Amino acid sequence: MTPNFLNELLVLLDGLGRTLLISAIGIALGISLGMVMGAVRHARIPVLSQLIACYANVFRCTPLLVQVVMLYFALPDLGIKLTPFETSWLALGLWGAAYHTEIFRAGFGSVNPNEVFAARALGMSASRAFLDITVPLGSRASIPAATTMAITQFRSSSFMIAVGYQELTYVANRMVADTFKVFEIFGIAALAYLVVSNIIAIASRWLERTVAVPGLGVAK
Amino acid sequence: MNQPWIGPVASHMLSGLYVTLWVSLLTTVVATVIGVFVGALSASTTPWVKVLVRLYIDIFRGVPSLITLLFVFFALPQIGISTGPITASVVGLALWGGANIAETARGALKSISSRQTEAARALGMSKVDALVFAVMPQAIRRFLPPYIGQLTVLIQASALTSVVGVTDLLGSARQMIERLAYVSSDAHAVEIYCGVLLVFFVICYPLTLLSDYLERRLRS
Repeated sequence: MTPNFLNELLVLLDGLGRTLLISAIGIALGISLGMVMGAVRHARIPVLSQLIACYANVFRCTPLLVQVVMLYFALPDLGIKLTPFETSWLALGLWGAAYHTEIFRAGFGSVNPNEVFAARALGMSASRAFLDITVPLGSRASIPAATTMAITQFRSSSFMIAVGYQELTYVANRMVADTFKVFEIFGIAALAYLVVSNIIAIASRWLERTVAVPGLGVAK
Repeated sequence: MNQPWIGPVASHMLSGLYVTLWVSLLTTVVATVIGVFVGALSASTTPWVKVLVRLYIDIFRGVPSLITLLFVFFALPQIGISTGPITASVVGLALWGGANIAETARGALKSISSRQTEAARALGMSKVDALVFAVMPQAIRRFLPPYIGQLTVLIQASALTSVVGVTDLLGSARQMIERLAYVSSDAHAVEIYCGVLLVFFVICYPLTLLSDYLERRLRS
């Protein structure tokens, strides 16, 4: 443990902190946008639903890296200037939202329609039944897929190297170019990504167990 | 639409597109070979093979594609193999994609009842024959939809090669924008990046539709 090595570790930790920051904002933005857009898709609100379908297709069928570069280098031509930090979380959020939309649409769609009929029969309005029955149950069903996507968003935060945001991959890449310690530095970076991915996965399983509705889905 | 800047930009980006298609094709082929081979190995009953397969799949699926790409890019010269950035990119992306495809193949193989293997073995087939001629033909229907989805991810990931300096579609677009910015006041960044997005969309959207179609056919 030379002081030099300790120094490098601190710089990497600093990068990890920025990675976590943009990932957290990007994931939160992606999930909230995705829930709203998924609800619109589920409710089949005309025009709006088709527009969202287009949005989801465009963002899912084009590389995130191109989207990032476009946000940062092309938007200033239209008068919108973003910092690397703003570009990073916005790109992660907008891209992730496209996937989360489909995840939540499928989740809301998986709710047994009889639950909604029962709520309507009890006198709930359609929107009340959606908010009180479909959203809570459908969101629970979406947890596993949304977690997988959240982890993908976290890993994809490495693409922000393209706009010079100093997250973990940027810092590691710089350090390797300077010191040529390829195996140590990328090894530590890879380990950090693996550890955080697993923490997210474990937290999600815990959440899923904690919010599970007792008995729901057991009796068919 | 008859503007003088379009001609040279289009011809330069066409050569970039050629590189993108070439990298995508090579990555896809190598990743598929790795994925199917490792996926088949996962059916092995030998403990150390199982451990190695799990390690490979979990590590490479858990690490950002960009990290594996950069790692291979910097590590190959250090162990005495000097290659261009294109080869390094293909190896890096294929190692990452191969792990994802292997996981898909593993899931598809596992979904086929072990009775099928037992029946084939009872008919006198060897272990390998039972896997290749009895289980794999049945598993391929489950394998194809997610596999095609993974191909779109791999094609999109080819844009990452621009990070290590390959003049692919995205790289050529950036070069042309820099050149235009140098010679005139308008770099046409919005139009050029929209062109890049459009090319990826035209390639990936039909593949997504095909994957969805196969998935639906499988369910019905």
